[in-house]
Amino acid sequence: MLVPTIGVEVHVELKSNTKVFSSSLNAFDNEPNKYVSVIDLGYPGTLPKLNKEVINMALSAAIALNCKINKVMHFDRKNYFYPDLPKGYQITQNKTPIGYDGYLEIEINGKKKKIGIERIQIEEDTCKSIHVEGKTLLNANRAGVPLIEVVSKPVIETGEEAALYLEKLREILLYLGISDVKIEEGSMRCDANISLKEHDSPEFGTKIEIKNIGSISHVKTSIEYEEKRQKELLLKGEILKEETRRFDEKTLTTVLMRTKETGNDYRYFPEPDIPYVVLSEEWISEIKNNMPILADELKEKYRKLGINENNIKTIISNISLCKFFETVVDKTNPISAANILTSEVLGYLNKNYIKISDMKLNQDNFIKLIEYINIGKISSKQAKDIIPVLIEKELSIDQVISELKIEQISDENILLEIINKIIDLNPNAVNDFKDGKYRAVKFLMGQIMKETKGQASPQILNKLLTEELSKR
Amino acid sequence: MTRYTELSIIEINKLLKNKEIKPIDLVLETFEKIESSNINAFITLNKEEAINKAIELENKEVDNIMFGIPIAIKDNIITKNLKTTCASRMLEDFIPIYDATVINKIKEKNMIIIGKTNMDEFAMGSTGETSYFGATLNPWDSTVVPGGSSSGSAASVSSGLSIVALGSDTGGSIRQPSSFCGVVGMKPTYSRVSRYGLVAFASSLDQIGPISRTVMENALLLNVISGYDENDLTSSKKEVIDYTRLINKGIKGLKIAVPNYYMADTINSEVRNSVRKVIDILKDEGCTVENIDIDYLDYAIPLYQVIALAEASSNLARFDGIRFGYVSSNFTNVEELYKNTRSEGFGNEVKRRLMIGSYVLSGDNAHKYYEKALLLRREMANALKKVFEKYDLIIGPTNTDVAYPFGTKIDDALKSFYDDLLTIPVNMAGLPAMSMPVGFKSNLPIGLHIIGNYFKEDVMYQLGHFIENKLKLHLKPGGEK
Amino acid sequence: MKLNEKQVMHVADLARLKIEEKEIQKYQNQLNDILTEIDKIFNAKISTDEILISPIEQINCYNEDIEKGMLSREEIMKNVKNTNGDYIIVPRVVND
Repeated sequence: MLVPTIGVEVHVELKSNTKVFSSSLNAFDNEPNKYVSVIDLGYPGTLPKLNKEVINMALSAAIALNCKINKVMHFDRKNYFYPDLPKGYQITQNKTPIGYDGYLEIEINGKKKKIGIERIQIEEDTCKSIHVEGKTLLNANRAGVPLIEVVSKPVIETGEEAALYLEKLREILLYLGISDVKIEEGSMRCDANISLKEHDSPEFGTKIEIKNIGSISHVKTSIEYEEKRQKELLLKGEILKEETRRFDEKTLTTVLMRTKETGNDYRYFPEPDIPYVVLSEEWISEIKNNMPILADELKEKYRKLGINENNIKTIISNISLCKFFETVVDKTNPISAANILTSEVLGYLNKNYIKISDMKLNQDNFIKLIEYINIGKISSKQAKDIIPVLIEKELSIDQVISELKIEQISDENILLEIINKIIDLNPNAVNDFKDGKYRAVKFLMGQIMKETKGQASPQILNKLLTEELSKR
Repeated sequence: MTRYTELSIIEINKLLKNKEIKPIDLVLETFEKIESSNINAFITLNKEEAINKAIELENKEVDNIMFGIPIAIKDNIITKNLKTTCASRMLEDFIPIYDATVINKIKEKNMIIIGKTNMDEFAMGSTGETSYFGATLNPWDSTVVPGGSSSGSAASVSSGLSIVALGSDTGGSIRQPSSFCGVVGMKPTYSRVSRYGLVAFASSLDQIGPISRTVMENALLLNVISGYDENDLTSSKKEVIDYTRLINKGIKGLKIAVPNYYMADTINSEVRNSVRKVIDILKDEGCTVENIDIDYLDYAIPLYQVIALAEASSNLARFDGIRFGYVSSNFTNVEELYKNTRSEGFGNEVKRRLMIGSYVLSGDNAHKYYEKALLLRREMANALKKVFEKYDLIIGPTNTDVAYPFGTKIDDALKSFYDDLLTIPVNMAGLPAMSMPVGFKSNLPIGLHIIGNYFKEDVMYQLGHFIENKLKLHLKPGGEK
Repeated sequence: MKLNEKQVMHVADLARLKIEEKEIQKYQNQLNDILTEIDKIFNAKISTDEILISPIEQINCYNEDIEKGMLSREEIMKNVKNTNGDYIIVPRVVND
């Protein structure tokens, strides 16, 4: 039986203020060749600098991914000619990657599985190329932007596992705050290696690489396609050659880019321009101690608070939402807060394309909102009218309530008058109630709410209505 | 007419301070000399800028010893807005957009840059003959090589075209031409002088250093260019000392080692005799001088070939016809752009070295050759370090012989390395070393090699100055010996 | 280690150098002379397992994460022969 061996390589741009080996800004801009120094252009005579913040960020990734740390590390030069590589070599870490032999944990079919991580290395990005008619245009804004390359061990068994691995990796790096990890913007780039072998064979099959896959779901699709394609060829008795392919998003197939006739000859050697970096125990524990709480720990906390899985998933998958939630979760009813945040608040934001960072709803108003709902000062329905105003305008919740004139009717005398009026108009409902049909209460509640334009306090109304019906 | 530029820097400084002369007098005299010289020491002259700078300095206080002193710069040191060619067709029209750190330091002291000196192409060579702009002539005898790769810097100081100059030394490129031209050349401790703006040949070996007429003036220039630089991570954070501080202090009690390897039969006997004469003087003065064996010295050349050429093959990959430098006019795709640009832009010596460098890093060779070389380099450095546990200095000849006729070695791929036989080990260990004239073989200067412990340039100058004073050689080419 | 003609062409290719047919022999001889010399390092007795990358003993040299001086577009393009003012231009490198 043929079984696949899958490994995934990910390049992630780190969001330090400046580049890794120069002091140019590390920023994205539509204007080309704006954040460039003589170092980024590989000018004769220039030497690399080394951005300490990049080491800190890579170190936090290595720790979060349970890696062993190369405490004495140096950089290496990877030599090859390509127009996007100004110096003719890339500064990377070949011999002493900052982290090695780590893992992350995915959950597949309810079971936990560790996916081994072979190495994490610090390296520099290349120029961005734009290919036009007969020409390639080079933009050096990206040259020297810090990257970490995270290489999984070849232990992934399915496309689904690969996708789960990537989602998990993305989540960890996002919560570490070291990268935007946006595949569509190129701050996370994924390559997959797939080979097939007989399940009992000790030797790996021919490795085929799929380069720069555009989304995590395409990683899954492309691996599954590639597995099928290779299987068919092998069963036909064909011999595969090492090659690099790309995923075609229109046909959902992989397409040959180039065959690797001879192995690449990168002529690695240690970079003499950068002295050894020695990561002391103190340095490592300082990074450890200042690491933000990661998603897994937050999930566990939310579960313990009784928040449902769907809401947890929604909150965790949106880091800005999660950060907001973290500022209120300990100060209010966490379950109600999660419900309101993931439904009304997020719904309105998404519908109106508002970023969480741009919303006016602050934590004080949000905490009061939950409190008012829970004590019945406002109904859920009224909350729906209040929330958009709180998101859009810099007003306190009390101001909004009085502005919208949606104070609830909690006065029992007023409510009793309306209740009896409605009961009188609906004798059938009263009969239904006597037959033990609860929907009669629901129906009458609805009618009363209509009459009061939703302002009746539901708790009080419910109590009074039941009492009044029982008297009939 | 008084030749002001032939006075010592200390004397010039006095005249400038007393307003007896102005910087412009030095500059005009310098260019007058250069324009009547035919040794091809310069690739690019900076005449207009130098004159402007000299006039600008007239309104400034003479605030330091190097104020207004003309200086020549090897053409592999980057100068903003002043053509920097590395003596290669590849950079024939290259106008840099930044200044090397040493250039900033020179400008801070208000020294005046008079031009960029000729050299072996990309500092690869030991005769000056690999320059795209033609060889520099040796001021002592126009039929022999001036040495290299800092050929123009050494020759210009030797012939009085510049008072001081900067060179660079990867395997002997300051010391060997200094020896052949009869001037003082110092390769400082690796990391003492920032390499930022030095077009890299072999990053772990390269070092910028001063070339001068006298030991004292060499120390004065080292004072200017030394120091930590945040643009060069390998530059030392160690505090800079005044390198003249031990000059004129007695040398009695100094412990000096003479490696047997440096006095072997492979070295010309007249050269050895000159060194022996110095040894006798030192012994008379109360120094301990002992012959010793140092392991691994005989591996210097093959070791250099692996390490220097591997690094060079990587450092020179940036010359691809895209962002700067020569571009072939003959290409239709990127591969042709690379190959034609580099084949037309580089000379033969450079190409040969780039091929060797690529080879020793290629595939399994990275392990077989390169890693082996890095281990051997450690052994060689340790062997040299060990000497300094017991001795203050090492001396011997700088070269196996004096300057030889043009054309002798140009087509021999190997022999060009053999000039660096005695100078390379120092670069491998990162130690400081200097060459100074101590005699002549017929009419050609002989260089003494003084090797110091890390950051002990001051002790080397102390010894050098003493020897210089004792010998009182007449070091004007064409004059009396 | 002696290089044959094919290997000479291969190292020339690695270094992105074009060698004319008539030059191969010359380069082959010269390279092999040097490689014969280089092979002498295998005679050296090595007792250390510590490589020497650079003679400096300084460790942990780095810069803070602060922007320091970038080039103007004009400066970037100053020595670029093929540019449209915004981009550096090379012959198209992908065919698809």
